[in-house]
Amino acid sequence: MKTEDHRSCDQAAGFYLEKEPFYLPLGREVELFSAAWQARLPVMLKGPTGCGKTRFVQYMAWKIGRPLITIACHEDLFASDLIGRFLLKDDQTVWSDGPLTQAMRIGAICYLDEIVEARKDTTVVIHPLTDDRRTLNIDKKPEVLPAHPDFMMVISYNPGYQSVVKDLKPSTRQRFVAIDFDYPDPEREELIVVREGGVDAATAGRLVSLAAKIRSIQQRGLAEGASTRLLIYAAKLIGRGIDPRRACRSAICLPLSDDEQMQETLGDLVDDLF
Amino acid sequence: MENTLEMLKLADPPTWELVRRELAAGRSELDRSRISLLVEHTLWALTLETSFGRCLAQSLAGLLAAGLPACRVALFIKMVRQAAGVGTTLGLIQARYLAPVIASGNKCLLRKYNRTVEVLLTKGSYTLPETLKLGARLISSGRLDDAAAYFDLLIAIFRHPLTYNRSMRLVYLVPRAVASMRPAARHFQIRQMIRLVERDVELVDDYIQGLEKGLALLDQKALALFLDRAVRRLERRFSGGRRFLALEAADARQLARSLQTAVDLGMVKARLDGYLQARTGLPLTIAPLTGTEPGGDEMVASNGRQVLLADPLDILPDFDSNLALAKTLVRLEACYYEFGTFDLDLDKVADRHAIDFGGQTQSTSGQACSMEIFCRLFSYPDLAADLITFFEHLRIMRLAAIHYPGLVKRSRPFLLLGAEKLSRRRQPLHPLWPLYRRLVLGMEQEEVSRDIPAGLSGQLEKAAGRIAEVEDSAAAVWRSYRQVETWLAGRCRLEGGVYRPLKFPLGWRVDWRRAASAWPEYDRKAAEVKDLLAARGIRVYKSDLKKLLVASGGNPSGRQLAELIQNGSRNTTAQEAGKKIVPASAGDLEGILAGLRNDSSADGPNPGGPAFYYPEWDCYLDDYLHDHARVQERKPAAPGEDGFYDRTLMEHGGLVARVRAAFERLKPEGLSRLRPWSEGDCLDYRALIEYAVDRRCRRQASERIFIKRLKQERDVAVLLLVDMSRSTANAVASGRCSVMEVEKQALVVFCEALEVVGDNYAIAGFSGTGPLAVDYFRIKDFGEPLNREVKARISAMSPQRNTRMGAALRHAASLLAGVPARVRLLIVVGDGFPNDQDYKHDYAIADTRKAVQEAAARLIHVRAVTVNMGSDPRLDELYGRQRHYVIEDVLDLPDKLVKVYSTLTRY
Repeated sequence: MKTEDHRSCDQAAGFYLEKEPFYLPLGREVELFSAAWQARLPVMLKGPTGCGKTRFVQYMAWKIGRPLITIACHEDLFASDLIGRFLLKDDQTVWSDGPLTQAMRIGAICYLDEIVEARKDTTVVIHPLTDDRRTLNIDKKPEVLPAHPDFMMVISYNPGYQSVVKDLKPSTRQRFVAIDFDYPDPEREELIVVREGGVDAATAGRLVSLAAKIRSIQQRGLAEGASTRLLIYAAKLIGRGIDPRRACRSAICLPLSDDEQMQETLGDLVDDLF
Repeated sequence: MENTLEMLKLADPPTWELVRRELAAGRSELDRSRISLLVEHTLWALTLETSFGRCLAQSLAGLLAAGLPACRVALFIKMVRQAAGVGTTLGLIQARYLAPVIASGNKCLLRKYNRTVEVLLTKGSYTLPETLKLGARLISSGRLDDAAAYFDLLIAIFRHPLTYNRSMRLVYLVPRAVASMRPAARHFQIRQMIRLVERDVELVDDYIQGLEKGLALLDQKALALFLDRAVRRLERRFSGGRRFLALEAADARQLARSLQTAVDLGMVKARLDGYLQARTGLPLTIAPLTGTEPGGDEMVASNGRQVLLADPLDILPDFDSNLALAKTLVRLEACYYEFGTFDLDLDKVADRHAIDFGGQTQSTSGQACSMEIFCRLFSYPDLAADLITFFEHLRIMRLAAIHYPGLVKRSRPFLLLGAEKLSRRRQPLHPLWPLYRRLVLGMEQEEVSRDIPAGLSGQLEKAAGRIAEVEDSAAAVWRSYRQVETWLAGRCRLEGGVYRPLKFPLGWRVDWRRAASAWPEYDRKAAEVKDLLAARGIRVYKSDLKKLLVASGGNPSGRQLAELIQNGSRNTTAQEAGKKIVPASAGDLEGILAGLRNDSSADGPNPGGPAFYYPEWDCYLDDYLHDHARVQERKPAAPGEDGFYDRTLMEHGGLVARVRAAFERLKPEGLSRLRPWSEGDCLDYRALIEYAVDRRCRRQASERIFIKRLKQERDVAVLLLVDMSRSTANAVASGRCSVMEVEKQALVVFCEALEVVGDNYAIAGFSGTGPLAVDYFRIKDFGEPLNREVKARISAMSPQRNTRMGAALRHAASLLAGVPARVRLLIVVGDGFPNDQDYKHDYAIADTRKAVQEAAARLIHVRAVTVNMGSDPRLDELYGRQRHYVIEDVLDLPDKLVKVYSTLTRY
């Protein structure tokens, strides 16, 4: 047993966060997540792109002192990519754990980023993991792997993804405690931009004001509003001597839309501020 | 006189009524002989044909009532009688369209009119009514030069040998094109058309197409230049020249663009709307200033709901400068909204500045906006408006310098240019102008001392220094008005009791008259609620109530009102003053608000067709009303206009081709990679390793080690539910067609796209009156081929009555639920919020939202596309956040609808 723990520690070493990630709580999400972790409940983070979901998971992993394994989901992600597979090594066949299995063994937080991008038959493998069984059926070995007591499953899900074809199945959704994220209020967002982007409060305030304006016309053809992440990018460019208008265009306007008219509108808003 | 007219009454009462009305509206009283003349000729015409008699009676009565000399009236009668001698149809045409020509008294115009009739008659009398109608309209509106040019054009066109079909086309095409020309450009655009017609009559079509595509925006010199080039092209190669003229050639478009200096509102409206809404957070839109209200030389104005911009804007020498000017004007005007100029509240002014208006603000407070009431408090309202503009500009410039340094930097050159232009005027400058230049525009100081007494200047500057809110500006006006008025009276600015207003650079000013017309219904409601609350001892500012009404679409909830009372600064002031505030319960407040809601009774049942009953959600009861709404299935009422579908395909040929191509691309995205597969296009390395491992372990190895690419079936069923309410009869912003026509065009493009992609789709429309008569028009059912009948049904769609959206949604969802598909999508296309008898505001929104939720529970995805209105936060309540799309310019609908669909269903 001691050997097992020792081996777990070795495996987990690379997944611990050494430095505290900067995260400014927006509500009671830290409290909620901590309670879910104590109850070992899986958590679903809902919110628009770039509002701080991933940073929040990093922060919580650091705060509760557990390793974090992140899997970016995509449409070619198979169950075996999560669970693991036998590999050929010299003349032997060697089992190689997938990131999910690894997280279960070492008691990590397993974070499936943008779960809607994964194939629906792949997401089904997490079902037994996310109810009271907390087990994973590895049919290739065969083995039913019980989760480490500290294992936790977190998924992120962006309701702004417009394709109804890529919606989460109700049977998957109903296994999670959901925490809703949105863009921070202007004061907090300004603090975040100052802290992360390294600009003065006045510049950060203008960037935040720009974001609020862009978000108010999201319905006019933007898939999503300007994220806090984009504001930080713009701030970082400004902090490195790029003209603010140019920085905003490159970091905020151009990534948001290819539409020429929309670009002009966004450009006009930037021109007002700088 | 009455006795003579009685004869007419006996002969034909409607004619008598027409005559009586014309005479009543006329300038002069008619003597007996003129009345006899009128009756005599009318009776003669009535004996030939009733419609001719009525038409002659009306025209003749109009001419007589206008006091025309007897010789001109006699000429009119003579010409009509001559025409009637040929046939009553020609007589009727002359009676109708000759009258304005005679009334104008312009002999040259009459000669041209006669020549036009003569030339048109060579083709047949069928060419006369459509063509002459516009001529008469131009003359009646005083545009005699345009009318003369138009007659020259008709002569030039119709003296060519033309086939019947060609004549018929030109009879409709030419007047429509001339009517759509800008009044300022019409004359030279017609002259250039004549120039082309003299070369070849076939060029009319190309020229009109060119005008529509952009030539209409060229000024006189630029258009002549462009046509010189086009003529050279025509001489070289006729077909190439025609393409050049019609702006089909890339170099022609480039040349037109380079010659264009004017900014057409249609070109920039969508992006400026977007800017305005982003900047202010309000559903504001841009509308043309020209033609909205006569406004002199102003370029921009606001009516509280819209920013009105000169259209076209052609002040500066090149296009880019004019575009920058248009943007600057919108930027400056947006400041009024963002910084609360139109939120002026006289109670706030009184409370904060201890000003006693002496009850003068109470009498009309229910009917007018505060800005109007305030200006009318003074003997010269326009002077008060100038002063408030002065202080508001000062305040706005200060705030903008803090929040929008870029805006100030970019607006300043234009403001200075405007100031320079004003300073160069010959008229004497307004005495306040130098002070405005110094304080608002930050220009030189020395000029000021010559024009304004130091004491007044100091007082205005001192007042300006304390301004933070619009109420401070109003207080500054209240305190300085008397002194300014006395000073101006001494400077001859108030001659004969008429005040000559201050001209502001770029015409940027607070327009209190237009602002007064912004939200009259909300002004009234806010005043009512304020009074009702005051009766309960609760003091609330009217401006806060009005803002709440605007934000809630005129129907706030009791909770929102309670929050306003709780947070309102006015009650805090009252509490501080030791006044007792009676707490109001949400129920009590709901009672107050209930009085504002309009109630009307439902209609009886509407017979015919299969009918279905659905429940309706009553948000006030918090429960369903069972079997409350009766939905009746119907087919569109009349057989469709032949060829609408094909005509749309032709008119939108480019768009349809583009959409088809886009949907073709959507199909390959449906290719799925199947694995592990027993045969296929390539090896799956993961399966291959497992195969090798199993072989090594001596286990039964699966031979499914391939990847196969297969075209995936798009298992999508979509129902398009189209709003057919009365409001879809409204014209779109450009005025070219109605919202319904654009909706139908969108359906055509949508059908074409769906046919390409192969998804199962249905189309339905809905309308109705009352809960028992909700009409559901089945335009195309699932699985029904897109045949002639379906196309005819699309053509036959027309605006009906109201929108009881919840019931229509429930019926559509029940139909869609029965369609076997993995993804079921219901797209609602409408032009606003649901509205029916007993079905408005919160109630309608709550029921629609419930219907959307019910559909979602049946795994039907409901999305909405809303057209012809600004984005409104209440749409979120209706359909859910990120579940709807707003298309500002309805003309974008055909394009955007398919884009929305492809986004929604991409795999």
